[in-house]
Amino acid sequence: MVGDDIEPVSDEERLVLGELLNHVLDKGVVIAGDVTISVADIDLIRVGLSLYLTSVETLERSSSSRGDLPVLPD
Amino acid sequence: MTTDEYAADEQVVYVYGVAAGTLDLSEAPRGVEDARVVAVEDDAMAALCSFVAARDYTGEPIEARAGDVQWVGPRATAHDAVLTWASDHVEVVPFTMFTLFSGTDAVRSMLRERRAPLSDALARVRGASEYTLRVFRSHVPTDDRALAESEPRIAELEKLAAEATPGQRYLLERKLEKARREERSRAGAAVAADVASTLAAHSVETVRSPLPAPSDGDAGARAVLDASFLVKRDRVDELRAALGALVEQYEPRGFRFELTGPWPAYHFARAGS
Repeated sequence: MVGDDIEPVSDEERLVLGELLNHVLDKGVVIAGDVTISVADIDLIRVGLSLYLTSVETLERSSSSRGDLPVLPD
Repeated sequence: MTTDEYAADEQVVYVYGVAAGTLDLSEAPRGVEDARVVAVEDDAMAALCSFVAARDYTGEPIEARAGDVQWVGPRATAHDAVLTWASDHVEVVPFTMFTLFSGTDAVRSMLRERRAPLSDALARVRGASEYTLRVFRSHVPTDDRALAESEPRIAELEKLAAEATPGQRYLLERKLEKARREERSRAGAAVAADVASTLAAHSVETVRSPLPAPSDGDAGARAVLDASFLVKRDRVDELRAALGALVEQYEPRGFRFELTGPWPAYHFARAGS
């Protein structure tokens, strides 16, 4: 398993991660987006969206608490 | 079916994206959960896949981990690494993270049912990469003077405030601050429009992403543009040169530019875009 117990990330790493999540968790209607997880009965877009939102909110909170970092995109 | 009903060893298929043609995956990086990347093929299209434990990737377990950056982070890195590697070899339509299928038959059905939009997306991204540009506007100390010089309305308000009695001055200064804010916002939007249209001329396609809601006051940098450009590889130098000229023009006015890329074409895999 990859890095479940990784070291706490630095501010710079957080920004890089924010940028990465902005790409890999695109909120748009992706081409496969209406494929439902048939085994779990969950809409993929919803899963992706909530993941994106909660991940980015977590990042924003940690960034804004320092107050000197650019605001990550919505 | 709920997560509890999965056997401990049951697996689902995680799909990173779809590549054109066949791809030798023996040199591919490891995917999520350090899993091997395999291809599920159908008529000259290959879905890049890994098998993952159903119990970890469906239902409540995945929702519970949604806010855990420490968990999502390494998987996002792995997802991107697979797509970046594949994009270096063939054209690829990236899927968003956590696109899952019940089995390889379901993946093949998706390839068949979505053949037309997938072919269309593969054709659009052929020979191109994505670059993302953010432009931020900072409130620089010389702003107020520059605003007064360019906007007679603001110069007039400054003059009135300076001559006013203390009671009147308070109201005038509030009005002045509001006028400055409006003017900065207008200038930011104008620069964003200029930058986006200038760079669009060197790109196949452009996607502008929504900006975060402005926070209180003008402290810190505020994003005025978040745009992704799909750029043919032989035109990247051209795009960079155009951006260089824009930076030279706007940086002295308090605008900061951040370009990232090349990325797999994440923002250009939408149906019908």
